[in-house]
Amino acid sequence: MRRYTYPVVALLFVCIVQVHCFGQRIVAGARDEFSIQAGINFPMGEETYAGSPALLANMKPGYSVDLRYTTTLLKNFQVGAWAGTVKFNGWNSTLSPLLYEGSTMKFLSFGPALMYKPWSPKDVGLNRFGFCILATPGASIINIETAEEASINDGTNPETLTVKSTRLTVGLHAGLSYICSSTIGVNLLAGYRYTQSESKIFPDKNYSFLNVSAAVFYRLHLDKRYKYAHL
Amino acid sequence: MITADTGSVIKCCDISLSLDTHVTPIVVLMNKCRAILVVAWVLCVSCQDDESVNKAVFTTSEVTRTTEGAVFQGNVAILDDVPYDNYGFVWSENNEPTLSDSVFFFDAAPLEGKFSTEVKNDLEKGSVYNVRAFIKAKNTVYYGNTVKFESLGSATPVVTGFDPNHGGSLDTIKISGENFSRLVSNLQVKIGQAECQILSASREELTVRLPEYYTAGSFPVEVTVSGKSGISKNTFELDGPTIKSISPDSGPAGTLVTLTGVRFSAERSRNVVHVGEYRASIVSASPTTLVIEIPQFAVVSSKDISIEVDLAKYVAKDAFKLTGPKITSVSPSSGIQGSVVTIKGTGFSTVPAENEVYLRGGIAAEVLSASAEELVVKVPWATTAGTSDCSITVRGAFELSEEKFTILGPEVTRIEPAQQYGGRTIKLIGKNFKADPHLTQVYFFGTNLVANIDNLTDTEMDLTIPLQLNDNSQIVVSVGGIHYMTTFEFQVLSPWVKQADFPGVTRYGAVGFSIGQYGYVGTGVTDNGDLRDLWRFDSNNHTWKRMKDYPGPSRAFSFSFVVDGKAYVGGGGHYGTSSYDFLFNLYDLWEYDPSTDSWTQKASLSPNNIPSGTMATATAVGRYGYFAVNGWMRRYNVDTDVWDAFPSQGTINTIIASAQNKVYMTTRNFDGGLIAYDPATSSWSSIAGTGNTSWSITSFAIDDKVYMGSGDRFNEYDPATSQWKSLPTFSLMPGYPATFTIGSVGYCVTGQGGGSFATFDPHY
Repeated sequence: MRRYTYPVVALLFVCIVQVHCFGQRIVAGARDEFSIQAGINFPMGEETYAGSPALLANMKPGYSVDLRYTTTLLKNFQVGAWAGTVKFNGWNSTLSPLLYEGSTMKFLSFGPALMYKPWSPKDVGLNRFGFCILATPGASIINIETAEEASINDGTNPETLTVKSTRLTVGLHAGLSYICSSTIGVNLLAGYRYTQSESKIFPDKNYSFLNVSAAVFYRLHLDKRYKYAHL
Repeated sequence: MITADTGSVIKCCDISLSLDTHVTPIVVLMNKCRAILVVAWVLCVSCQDDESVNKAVFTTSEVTRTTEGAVFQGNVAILDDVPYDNYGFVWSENNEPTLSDSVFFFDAAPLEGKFSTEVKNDLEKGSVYNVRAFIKAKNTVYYGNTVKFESLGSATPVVTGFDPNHGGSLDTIKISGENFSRLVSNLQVKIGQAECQILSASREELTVRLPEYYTAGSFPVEVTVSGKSGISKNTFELDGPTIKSISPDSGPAGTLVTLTGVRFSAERSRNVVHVGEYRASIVSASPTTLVIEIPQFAVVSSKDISIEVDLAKYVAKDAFKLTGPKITSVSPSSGIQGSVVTIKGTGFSTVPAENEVYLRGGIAAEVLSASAEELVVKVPWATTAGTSDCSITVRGAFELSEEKFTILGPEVTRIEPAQQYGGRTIKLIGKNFKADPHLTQVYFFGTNLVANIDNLTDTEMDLTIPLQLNDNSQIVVSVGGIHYMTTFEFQVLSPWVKQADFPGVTRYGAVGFSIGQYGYVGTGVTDNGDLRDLWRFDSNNHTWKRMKDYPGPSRAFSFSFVVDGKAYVGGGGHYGTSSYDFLFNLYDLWEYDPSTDSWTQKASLSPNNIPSGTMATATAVGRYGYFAVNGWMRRYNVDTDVWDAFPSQGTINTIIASAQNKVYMTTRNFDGGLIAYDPATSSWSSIAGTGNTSWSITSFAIDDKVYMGSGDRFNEYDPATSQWKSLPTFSLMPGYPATFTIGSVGYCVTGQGGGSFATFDPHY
């Protein structure tokens, strides 16, 4: 029991000194953050539209990578830019198994990023934990490659069909953050991305998918805040 | 002042500090918002980009069918940067139609969106077609997916005009209308009977070429597309000759007829006129008149007259009635060759030679008498029996009558007896024989053997079976050239019976002898050398057993004789360098005792004065063995083991047998004759032969008769009567066989040519 005496006393001392002693401590907030985010994306939507199988909804989940840079605009509110890419493949539909077999679908997206951190920084856990809401509107450059032959050119032009288009997109994520050190932190995010899909070829009404991702962020230009306590 | 203002200054400082703390974030916020807006604007503008593709995307949609065609539909979803210049549909019964099949062009560059057209051509009712949309660039055609449908038919082609409205051989015509086909293979254009060659085709216009040969006249233009035909209202004039009148319009062959018309040629050779299928000679010609001579050999009936001038042809149907003889009855309606027939009718010539009558085949019947209404003819010697239409030609006019005449041929209904030996007689019973031996021949199918006809009537004939007939055969009877073959085979019997094969190596030049119920065969030669083995045949149970080998050197063509139940074998020669090199070079003699199956050597022959290069044979009379070779004979005394020499007899060839205590030998004349030596009187006599013989002779002595011959001739000589008799031959008789006699049966074993084992029983 003796051996715990000094640590307990020391801990109580520290707590008493922090709360009740006249003193100060640093609350580290970052003015800029740069994050790298990797995630898995689950296609959503109807499997068929007007009797024709959808393109994205019948794909397997795809992997994504995002880069994001944000800077503090107001307290708890950051703005910035993001860019990311996601790729889908593994198309399979029981309605017409061969229609888009072997197709790949790539989204290269970018745009402004808006992040709101209602808890950050807080005293809880020495300010390490936080909560964030991220909105990422922008544009997606959609690149679709499909070797379908059943309805397009009937094999007389066997070249793989490549369809390129640029469409508006918006994503909304919510997540938790943990600051590992004064410069490094991690995020766990879950969200939804919606992309317009008007096409002369494919029946999809939109391209949407759920995203679950993890990010590592690097904190730049730390804000030093001083907080005073009463004696 | 300074003091008094100090607080103000400080306040101002506070204010300025306060301003700094409130203005700067707003400016920054504004700047950042402006940046965000700019970025968002750029994004919105950039999102105006349309889809771009690396190749056009288009599809063939479903087909709507009608009874007059089908509506094809397609959709161009998106185009790429290729400068397409046309688009449309292709269709055919092939799985992947192309531009070489039926096609519809929109004759414009394709645009994005749906497109369709109704086609009314190249669709046959009930056929299943495949249709594909296509878009076309300068050098490339891209096809869409295939849509299959069953056609309900297409519209009837409509011929609205043609230019020019007349023409001749190989002229070109343009035909306009609707619902034609672009596909030449789906098109047919005819003007009258003239089928035109299609040079080019579209749905509205055809360019065709007239054939080189055609029938002149005015005809509508007929266009057929996928089984539906449309004809023009106006007629096209096929230039050429036209016959307007014929005079006279009937008559016999040789009648001069005047043809009046237009566009004849004044050159006779340029007018080709046919009456029926025969070409008529042209007596005179002008552009409007031709005089022709009705040709001969035409069948009496109404005839077309056709004229052809410079490849253009005109036909006047049934324009001339050819008159001539007419047969009304033929009596009797059947008969054998040479029988007499009466033909009644009209138009006959009273001169018999001018009436050419055919009852069957190409042989004219002899006309015995003739009047204008009756002919008496003799049935010709046709080669086949059967029924034919009668025909008659009188001075070139031909009549094929509906009256028929049947020439009857021989027919065999029965043979008595149904089986018989060669050399004996059978009777053929049937009908339609001809009691004329010069017109009748009987032979056996599959052979060249002709039977000798001993007696012949119209219903029966007696035949002698050829001695050489060894196999069952159908009998062919030929009467006056008409052949009849029996539907069954005649069963020929033979004293020769083939036995199971000899178990030893097949050989020839073997020695053969018999002791009691056993026959023995040994030595001999094959292509691989000569032999020493000895085999015994048991005539009771027909089994073979190998006995002790001949102790002397192996050999062929040795001699043997049997005295007192023991055999004596010797002489002969080794196998030489060729099959025919049988030198007589062995002179030893061995005695075989069948009771002990043992051999004992006896006194050898003296080689002195024995010629080589020939075969030696022997037989026994009494207690002596007689050996002869090429003009020499020796005698061996089995009791004293001594050989005696005989004087030379130059005509002796080989000993064949002993009968009635005489030794019989063939002659070197090969005339079938014999030389007989009588030991009792030591006399020689000659027996005349019956024909040629050869070196290889199969001979037996059975019941004191001598039998000798080969595969094609076999004879019996009876010393008691000095008579020869021909016997059935054995076609499988080998060359140089071993022979022996047991009881009343001769045995012929192994030899050249397969070595059949057969028995010969003369008591049949």
